[in-house]
Amino acid sequence: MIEIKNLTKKFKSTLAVDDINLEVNEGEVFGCLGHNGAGKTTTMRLILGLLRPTSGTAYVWGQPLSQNPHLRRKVGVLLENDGLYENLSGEDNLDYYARLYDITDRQKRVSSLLEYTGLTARGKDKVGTYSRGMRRKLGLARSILHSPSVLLLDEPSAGLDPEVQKMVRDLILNLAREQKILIFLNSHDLDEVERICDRIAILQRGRIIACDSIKHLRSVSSEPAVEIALEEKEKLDNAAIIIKSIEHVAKTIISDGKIKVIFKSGKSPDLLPALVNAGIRVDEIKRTNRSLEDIYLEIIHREEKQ
Amino acid sequence: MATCLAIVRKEIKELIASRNTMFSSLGVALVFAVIYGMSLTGEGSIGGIISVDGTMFFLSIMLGVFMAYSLTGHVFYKEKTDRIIETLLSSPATLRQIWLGKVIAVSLVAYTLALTSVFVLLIITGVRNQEIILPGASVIFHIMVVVPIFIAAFVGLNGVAQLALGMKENRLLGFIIFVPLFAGLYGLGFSIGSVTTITWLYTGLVLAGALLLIAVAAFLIRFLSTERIVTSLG
Repeated sequence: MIEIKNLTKKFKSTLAVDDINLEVNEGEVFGCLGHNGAGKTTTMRLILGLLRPTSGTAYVWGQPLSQNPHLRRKVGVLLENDGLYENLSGEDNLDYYARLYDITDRQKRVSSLLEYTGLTARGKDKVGTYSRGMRRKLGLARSILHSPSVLLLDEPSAGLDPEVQKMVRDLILNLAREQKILIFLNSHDLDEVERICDRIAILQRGRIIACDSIKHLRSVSSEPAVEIALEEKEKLDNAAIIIKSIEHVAKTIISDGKIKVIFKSGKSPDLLPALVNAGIRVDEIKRTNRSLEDIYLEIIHREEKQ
Repeated sequence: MATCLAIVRKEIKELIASRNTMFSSLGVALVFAVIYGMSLTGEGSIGGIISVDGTMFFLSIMLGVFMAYSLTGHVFYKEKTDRIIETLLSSPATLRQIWLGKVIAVSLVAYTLALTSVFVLLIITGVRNQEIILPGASVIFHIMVVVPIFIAAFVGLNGVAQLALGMKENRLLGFIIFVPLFAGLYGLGFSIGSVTTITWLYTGLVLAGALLLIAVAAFLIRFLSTERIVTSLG
């Protein structure tokens, strides 16, 4: 497991990580969210032992990785860079890391991972000729080559097309559910995080401003919301203005040809009369679950106001 | 040891796979061998180079250092610019194993290229003079023992510098230290090249220089840390 206590990292006058406390357990998929510069990558580097904490500790299985090369055999890493050599073939890249991790029966393991990621046919080609998606898949194969117990992923599906994104997501879920690997991932992709993470932490200016399961965050932070579809799409803007003037309405968002209405203070006023009086015909009105994006933005904005 | 060997193996494999680098390095080694070989056997001589001993003494170390410099950038600096070093430092390999593996690999390749150049020089002089002129004992010792030590020491020191310094500083280092070093070596080469007998004193001086470089590299590597490397990635 990963155990972080009072972790702080300062670079000269910049406080990159500010007194973080965190615990991630076996079999859990944990997501770290935050803007650029929020401290996600620094936190991951501190866990990996690539950086020394200014104060506090970041332990994996009770020990710092920096001082224990043997413990690093149990940890898989996929950073923003895939860690691959362009002048070597996919097969040679995996073979190299297999040697570093002292894997017995290297050839078999390399072949099975190439097959698992659908790269067998390109295994002998130089990585420099691979597409971004293929590199990412090979990078992921590299990170699980030694069957780690802990896997740290930095933006695992950034810049990938939807098909490869899904493949990466399924792979992560499979590793967590079937092999009980602890997965700690940094991501900007809220949709990805929502789909695969059990718990998340939201970082802002190096501090954790929220840390819980998505379900719990949704239940405690969400104001009620409804989604309205109109019969005449051209009246969306007009309808949004009318709704916004109704008491207890906090915000209206137009997206995908619908109006999303967020209420204040747990109230949910009746919107229909105002719309009908204005001659706007409503096709559908339903309660919605707020997305992780809504929750994330709400928490970030609330924190900024404070 | 297995980790170190894995790194050596991979670096050599990658260098060989980088055809442009290898072809240009081999090209330089051969061009120098041919130029000096022709000048040794011609009617006149280029820059007063007339001694086989002096030329071999100079060529082996000058080319070795030149190759080492060019290949070190490929092995150490490129891994930083590509940011692969972070993944490598997260593996079970320690920083010293990574450094040592790279030093051995670059030294082996650079030394092989320098030896190739010396061998070609011998062949050219042999063919043109219709007899193989073997260098003296001190030069053979210099080529077989001192040059590989000097190359390894140079790669070690250069490697530490490239790992520790940021991207801008690394580029500056090339101009501030290595350009004058090459110029110095080149100038020295012409003066040594004209010396007909290479005594053990010359060999001893170069060996002392190599040992000094090793001492400096060993001293500096104590200050090299994973954090220093990661924070200098830019």
